[in-house]
Amino acid sequence: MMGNDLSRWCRVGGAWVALMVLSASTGATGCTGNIGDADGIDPSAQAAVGSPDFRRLSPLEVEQTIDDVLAEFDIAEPAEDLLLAPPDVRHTFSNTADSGNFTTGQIQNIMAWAESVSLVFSQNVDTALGCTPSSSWDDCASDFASRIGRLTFRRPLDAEDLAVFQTVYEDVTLQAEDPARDGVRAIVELALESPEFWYLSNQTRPDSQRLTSHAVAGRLSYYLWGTMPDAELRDAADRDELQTPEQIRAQAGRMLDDPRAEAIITRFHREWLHLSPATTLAKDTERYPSFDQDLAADMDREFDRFVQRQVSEGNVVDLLSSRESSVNSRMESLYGLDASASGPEDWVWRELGPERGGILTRPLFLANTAGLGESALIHRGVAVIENYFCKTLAVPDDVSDEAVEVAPDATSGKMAGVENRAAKARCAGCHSTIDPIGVSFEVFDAIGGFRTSYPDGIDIAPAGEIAAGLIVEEQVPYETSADLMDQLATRPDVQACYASKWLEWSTGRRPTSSQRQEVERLAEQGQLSIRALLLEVATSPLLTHREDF
Amino acid sequence: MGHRPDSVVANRGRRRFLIGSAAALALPFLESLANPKPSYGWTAAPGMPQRLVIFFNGHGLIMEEFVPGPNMALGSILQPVADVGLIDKSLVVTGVNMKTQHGHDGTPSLLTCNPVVPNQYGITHATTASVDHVIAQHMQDGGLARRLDLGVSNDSTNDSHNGLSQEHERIFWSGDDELIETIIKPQLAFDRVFPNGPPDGGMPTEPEVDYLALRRESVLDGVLENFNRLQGRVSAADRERLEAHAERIREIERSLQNGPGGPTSPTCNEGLEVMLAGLDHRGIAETQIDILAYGIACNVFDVGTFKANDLEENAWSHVTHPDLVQTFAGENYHGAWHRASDERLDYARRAFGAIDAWYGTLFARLLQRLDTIDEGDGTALDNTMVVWVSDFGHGGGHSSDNLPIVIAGNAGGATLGRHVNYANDPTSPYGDDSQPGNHNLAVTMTQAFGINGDTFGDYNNTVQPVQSGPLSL
Repeated sequence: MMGNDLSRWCRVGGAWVALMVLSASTGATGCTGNIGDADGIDPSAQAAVGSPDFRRLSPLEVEQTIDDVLAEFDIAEPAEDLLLAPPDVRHTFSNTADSGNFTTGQIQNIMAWAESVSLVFSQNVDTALGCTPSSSWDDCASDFASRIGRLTFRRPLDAEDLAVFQTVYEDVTLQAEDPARDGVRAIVELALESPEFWYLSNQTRPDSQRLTSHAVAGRLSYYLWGTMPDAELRDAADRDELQTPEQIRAQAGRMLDDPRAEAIITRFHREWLHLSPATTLAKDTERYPSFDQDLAADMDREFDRFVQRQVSEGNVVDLLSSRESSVNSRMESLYGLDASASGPEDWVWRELGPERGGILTRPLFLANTAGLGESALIHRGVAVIENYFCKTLAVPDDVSDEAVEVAPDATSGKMAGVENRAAKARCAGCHSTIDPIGVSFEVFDAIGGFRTSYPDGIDIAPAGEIAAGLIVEEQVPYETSADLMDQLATRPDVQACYASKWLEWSTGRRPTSSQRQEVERLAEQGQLSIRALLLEVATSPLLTHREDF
Repeated sequence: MGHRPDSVVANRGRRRFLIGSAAALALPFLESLANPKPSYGWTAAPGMPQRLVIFFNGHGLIMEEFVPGPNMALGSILQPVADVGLIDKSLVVTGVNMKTQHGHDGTPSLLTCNPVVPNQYGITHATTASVDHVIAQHMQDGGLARRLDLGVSNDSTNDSHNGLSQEHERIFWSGDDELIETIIKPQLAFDRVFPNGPPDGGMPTEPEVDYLALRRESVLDGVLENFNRLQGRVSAADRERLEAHAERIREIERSLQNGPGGPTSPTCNEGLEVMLAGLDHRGIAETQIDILAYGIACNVFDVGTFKANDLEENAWSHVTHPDLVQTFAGENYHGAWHRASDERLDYARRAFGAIDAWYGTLFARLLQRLDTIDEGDGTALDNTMVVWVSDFGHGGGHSSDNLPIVIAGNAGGATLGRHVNYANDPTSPYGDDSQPGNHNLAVTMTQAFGINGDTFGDYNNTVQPVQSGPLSL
């Protein structure tokens, strides 16, 4: 039967909740207590924390990798699409370790894809191999297997590996229409269907928790580039020079300076906030005549330029509260700025109005958390709780006969819904926190434009407070959403949440409460700069060590 | 090494069987079921279904519009079935409860009837295959399940989406944490049913020696050898994961050894004319239904599913109901359903009534398509068990009691054209513990396909008591 258990109405899940409970029971002050107290962290304890998970590559990573493999063989022809569904990223990142098990249908699609890649190789044998393969396992075939195996297995092949390639090659050439060609195809298919390609290695050094340099190279590369290691990183691994923090930091710094890191920085921030490209969003064209594909593309680009700048030059406070942005003429118009850019191709850095602050006041986020015509205040409130405080709110079940909203008629009628939920005990547990945050964002319409009143003329009152309890221990009053963003940006728990998201991105796993100290240590780096945070994540034992074997 | 921008990832490259865009494709008549693909030994008992189709929409329905009144008086949801003259081939079942777990977290267990397990984010997944897959495997007796899983979702019209979806209500599973993907674009569905391109008037010729199959076998041998070697170097938990992956590869390899696997082009495509591009969500859903019906009726697949994923505000332009805009204002499908929960929010109930009536027209279309294909003394529909089910009953209340169910075509011998009800008030969000459950529905299905036994799933770890046996129809 359907329960009336109030606890169902506001279950808060996830690692940081466990952390909060832990803190409360030991009398500490929650997530805010020890952060910044560097002396309180025991270095030896850090070395013991966590282990990188044995995660599978995501479809995006596989596709980028094969592009790069083809480029290494000087093949210009693109590979076919890999037909796997994009991962469900409503609660995490596309590279999560929790990506489910493969069905036979998915494996058949992988086989078809590998066969399409092998076809491309067989059509470019001269370029790719630089020799003519024969029907026997000779140097030409063996060298090719070693080369493609080195790239796809992310380590040099050993004799046992090569023996498997040889067996398959000889097996195939024995009975084939065109032995040499089919033999080459089999080598490619074996390389792309094997577990060494699909799973990031967590191989450790003998008698150690520390990963081998080749395993570290794989992890670093997919963390910062979303693809396989390049020649320099491969060489460093071959020399076993990815062991000390200094060695790893040097490589990570080089990788962050490479354009390949840009795509990952963009992907991370879009997936963190669960944002779709604005070009895929629909808006009411009567109400928002300026919203077209051009403006949508500008919103995407503005967001990306903003995060690139904060990651390369700023710290976490800048990311969460900065009023600067890169805008073109269309974005100036959306922001209500006087024109200074000469046109849509001219991107200039500008100081935005006082109503803006940080990444959540950018049109891409605001348009994502809105419907066709009106903003979605609940979704904006939930986004802050989930993405800034690392807490997961359960979807409410069993709301039969509860007045959810009285008049969601696209205007100020929404405010009646806010009052209604606040007045009902079953709703208030979560919504007394969610709704006021959302209301502060009501000054931004469904495409992120600023307003002070609803279309029906009713003024918007953004001031409010985050009530103590669900996400903060002491209430947080604010005047505007920009004021709220300013306050949240300097909160240690919010900064720690951001750091934990990067750890989640880099390992495929959400940090647990036992890894709290490590998260707090990383968050301190974020106060210096986001770049420092990313370098510190690269050398974190959570990425470079393994806990169990 | 150039970097590929995310937005064009799914867009590039080519598909193997690209058909001209926006072209209506009329396929020539070949031979109607002249050469049905043999199954691996499974044969339907006389009068029993030869294949299974499941039609699923998430979040339940406006039950007042679904439950028939006295003398099969129909509401707006099932009226479309009557309009195509097929209510006499439909059995409406009400008063069946979800027994495994209630609420959204329980959805993955609707057709597995086993407890779900949450991952690190609290998202639940099934731990065993759902009943549709168990039946599909049974019908191939050790060979690969032949199934076609189609649907419509928001991304169906997104040009940069690759056409395979795992989103929202997760219903169909082939094993532990093995979610079966849904094809949400007609082009991809078409390629799957017609892997050799549109038939050109002749049967595809089989090569004397299937070199590709031989190569695949050798490659998979090598892949499995690599799995074996890796197993020894990883932790126990990792081994479990690798083993699940390797087991599916072994299944595929066995199917290579056992003979032709996978679909062949159908030969009973009379009348199939489909648009593959330039469609809105309604057009996509209708095309998917048509492709599904032909893929199934032509014996290319044993089990088919159609899933209407949660469509958002801008995907409902084809349902021109005056209350729709208000119902979705600033909300997604899930949130909009909540607006239909309150007695005072009549506008949302009216809007969802219109949406649900559209589901009814899709279901009617599926039945009608199957019924136009002659088969034996009757039609393909007569030999197909078609089941419409949702994970909730009363959608606004997110109720897991009183699920809406229709079993059409062949109900395993049960008399059609009736309404069977187990509840005092089948429109209520609150059922009674003593009503039958999803386990009973599953057993009704397994028994129709000749699977012995009167249980399916776990009868101990349930939220309501549940008895063994099928539904008493």
